[in-house]
Amino acid sequence: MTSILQIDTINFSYEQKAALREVSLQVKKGDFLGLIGPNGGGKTTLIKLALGMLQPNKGSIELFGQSITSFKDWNKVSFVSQKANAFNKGFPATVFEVVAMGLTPKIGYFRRFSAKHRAAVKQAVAQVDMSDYLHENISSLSGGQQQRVFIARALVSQPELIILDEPTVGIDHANVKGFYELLQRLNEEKGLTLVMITHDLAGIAQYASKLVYLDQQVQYEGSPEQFRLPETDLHVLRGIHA
Amino acid sequence: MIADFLQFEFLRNTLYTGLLIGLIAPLLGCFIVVRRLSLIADALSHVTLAGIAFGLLLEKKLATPVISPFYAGLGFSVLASLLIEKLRNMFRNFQEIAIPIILSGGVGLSVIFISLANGFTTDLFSYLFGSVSAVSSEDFRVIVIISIIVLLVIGVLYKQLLVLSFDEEHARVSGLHAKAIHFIFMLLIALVIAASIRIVGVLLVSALMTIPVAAAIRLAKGFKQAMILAILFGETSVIVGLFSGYYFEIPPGGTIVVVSILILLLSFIVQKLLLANKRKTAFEKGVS
Repeated sequence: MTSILQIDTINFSYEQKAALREVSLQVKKGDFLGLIGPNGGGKTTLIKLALGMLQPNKGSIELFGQSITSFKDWNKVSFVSQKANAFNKGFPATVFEVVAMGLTPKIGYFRRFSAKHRAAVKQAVAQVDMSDYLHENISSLSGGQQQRVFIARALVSQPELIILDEPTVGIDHANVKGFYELLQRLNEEKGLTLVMITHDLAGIAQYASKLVYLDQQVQYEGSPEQFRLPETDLHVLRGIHA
Repeated sequence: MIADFLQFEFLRNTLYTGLLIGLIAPLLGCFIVVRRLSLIADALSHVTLAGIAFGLLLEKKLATPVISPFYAGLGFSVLASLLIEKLRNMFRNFQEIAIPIILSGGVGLSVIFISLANGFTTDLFSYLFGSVSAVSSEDFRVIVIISIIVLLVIGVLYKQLLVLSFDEEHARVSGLHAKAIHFIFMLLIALVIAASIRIVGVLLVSALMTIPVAAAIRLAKGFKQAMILAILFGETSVIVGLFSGYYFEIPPGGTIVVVSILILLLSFIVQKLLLANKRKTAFEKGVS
């Protein structure tokens, strides 16, 4: 199967403090990869490296077969960040406007927003079952609904890979289940490759096709069914979640 | 009174300039407010004051015009916008510290230049609080050029500025030239401040960039609607403020800001009424 993301024996440190050591990872087309691990284990750092926001001290990263240093095809990749950190809650933007932002890199500077783009936005909003809220301000929606809108923003440019950084934080239990089901549907029906950072081990284990446990090094890479967390690490993971 | 504004050239210049800044200040202000950069406009306006004081000092000491206070203010404002960015990069974890540094630096330099010029002149007073008679034909031409630049740049960069304002991290990951766009944005703020000072005055210029926007975001559904409302409120503030300032012989900066605050208060009331109406409709739907 085609390799979407190939991380090869990378090291990364923040000043003197090592964050990742000898990390290798492969994400293949159609994978739904859950990336778990304790706080400080390097999950977000790994994602930042995969998105070219940081440069490794050693090793190589390839996206869609191209080195990350020369990768230009960002239309193929979408990122859904942890909403609480990235989103100004009072921002006066409608669902339509937020989802349309996902097309900005594709449209570029001098082309106008056309009827074709408008249709793409409506289609992406429909895919996440939010069509009834198209012209509502995003700030008036619940946490779960907002996160669906961010998924629609990621979908609108028709990417092949979506990377999600703790997207379920702050969403109530009932909505989290619906959110996972939405991701699973996109993964299975549309063939989207997904990489999701989470602390919700129980949730991700039910839906992901592959789990990676990262604590500066890859401690586990394989199927969710065979994953067994050592008692000490389980304590650490529970501690974070509490 | 309206006839006066159309009859005399200097008043005509003021009116047209007012209409232009009533458009570009709230337009840019929408991005400034949602990016939580409102205080940057204040810092830049204080540095503009230093530039103006420097220009006035040169005028007074050299007796021949080397650089007009308007251009000196514009130059200082643009330089300060670059400096703010430099400081924000140097203090990544305390980025807001750039604002008091630049603001106090601007006031400090202003005090020095004003003292060297032996005090407060009437001309400086008009720069501080605006004037209905301060816009020369030369000033007007520069302000028209600045307005065209601002409208063109926002026209081209609207989508990118919106993404950058909403979610900076997403903008960077999407491969947008976030640094370059932010840099251009800072230059635009400097230009709009320089364009607005003749009418609103240095001390009140940031108000025209923020108060109409504050009123607009209470009522708007979506960013485009917020922009349209902010411009509408900005133009209303400028027109009512200019005419009342002229009629009562008060610097228009004061009257423009007071009108914009009245509009803001009105927006609170309208928002409450709209909300009450929405709840009533929802309740009636629930009952039936």
